[in-house]
Amino acid sequence: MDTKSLLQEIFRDVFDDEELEITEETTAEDIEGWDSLTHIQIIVGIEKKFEIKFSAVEIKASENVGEFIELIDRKVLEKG
Amino acid sequence: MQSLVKEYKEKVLLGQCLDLVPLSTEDSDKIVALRNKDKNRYNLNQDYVLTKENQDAWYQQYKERTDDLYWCIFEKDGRFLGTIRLYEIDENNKTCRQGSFIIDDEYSKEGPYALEAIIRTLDLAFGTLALEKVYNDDRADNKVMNNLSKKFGFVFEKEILVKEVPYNLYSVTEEQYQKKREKIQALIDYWATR
Repeated sequence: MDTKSLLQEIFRDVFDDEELEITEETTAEDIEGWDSLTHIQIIVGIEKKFEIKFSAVEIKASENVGEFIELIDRKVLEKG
Repeated sequence: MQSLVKEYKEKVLLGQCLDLVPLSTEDSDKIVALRNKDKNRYNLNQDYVLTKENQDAWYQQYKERTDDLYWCIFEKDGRFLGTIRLYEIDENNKTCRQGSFIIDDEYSKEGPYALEAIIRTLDLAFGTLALEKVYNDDRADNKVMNNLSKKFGFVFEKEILVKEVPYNLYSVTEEQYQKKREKIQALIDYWATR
């Protein structure tokens, strides 16, 4: 499964919506309930699923799905 | 109950990612600055500019009350994050209200601070104070706060008007809260050790 598909599973779990579809352009504006709280839930979901850690700056800076995918792929690569 | 409230007016609630420090005049400047931010004034329906003198005067009344607990929320590294409060603590009806809740926007995306501040106060309400129901009211157009209340099992009761502004009144029982608590606590546990 690719990064976007795994991320979609996390989003569906966080927003409790099995029909939720994300694209690289999806932002908080596009998803009802994507606020500072669900943002943290997304971060935790990603960190657990991909076994990576975000810095405080990265947590604040990630604002759309494309940025999350880029960041995840880079960190997974760094992890080796 | 009154002696318990008095005790907790002096007691720091130690959390995992944050601490709840009892209100004192030491933190008046921070509270004034936070509450006077435009977004917070709007959400709190605060139609005046708070001054240090107002805040200190309010504190003098607060410290004598035995039905009111107000905390400043501090990150473990000492950063001031916001405020939260349990008030109208009613021993006979076993109820209270939760309010004066602000997490500074600057830090709200940096950790599960809002979640932990609420857990610590609801644990105190239902555990130590043995209350049976906690009420809160959220400005109707404040989606973040309304979503947050629902995450903790708060159930919508009715719309009320506060200074002519619509608010949603919610309540939660210990049973409703406990159904939601485990998942939220697991997230805080993860964050505290990451």
